[in-house]
Amino acid sequence: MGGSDVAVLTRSVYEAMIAHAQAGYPNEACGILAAKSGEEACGVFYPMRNLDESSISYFMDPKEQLGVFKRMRQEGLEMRGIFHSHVASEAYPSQKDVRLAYYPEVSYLIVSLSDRQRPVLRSYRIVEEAVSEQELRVV
Amino acid sequence: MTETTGTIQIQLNGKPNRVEAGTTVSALLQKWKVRPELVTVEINEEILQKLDYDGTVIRDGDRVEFVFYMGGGSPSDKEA
Repeated sequence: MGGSDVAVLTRSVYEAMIAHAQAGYPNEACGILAAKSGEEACGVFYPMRNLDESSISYFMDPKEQLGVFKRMRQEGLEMRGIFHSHVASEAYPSQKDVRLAYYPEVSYLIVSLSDRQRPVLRSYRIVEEAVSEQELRVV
Repeated sequence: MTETTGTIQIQLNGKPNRVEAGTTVSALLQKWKVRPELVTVEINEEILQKLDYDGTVIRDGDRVEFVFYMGGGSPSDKEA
């Protein structure tokens, strides 16, 4: 995950992400994914607050971010992904998503809830504003 | 540890780091090629106001953290 062309996450993380997105609906939801150092699969999901409380944008609380970064360090985890939902559009990075992608080494995961019964999750790398989709594997 | 050697020891994002004594937050970010408008900086658990980056000198033993903003959103009408 992150630097590779494959994003791997556990089933429980996948389910937690979708649940967080559904719970935040009709607003966008967001979160951070992490994995143990040296492990491929992302097994930890930190649901984050969307400061914007908006259906068309998200912005994480920097204070909460700082707290999560410290927790990850203490627990021997690495950030591997940044997640958010699009409630009425496809799971593809918007211009704003691309502009605000400052972590080229991680995956950017987007779930579309335009059909709430059938969420669509996709993963991307965004490096210097170039978007490339990753294969997504749930294990 | 004293500041008389010319460098000081800090923790930067959890890792030990040596910087020149007298380094400001702005200078530290510049050294790491980080644009100040894109990050939140915390020193010893206190978030700094951007206006203070130039005038805040990092001290020996400080725990400095910076994180890039994380945000985005749905496509605008123009994109759709």
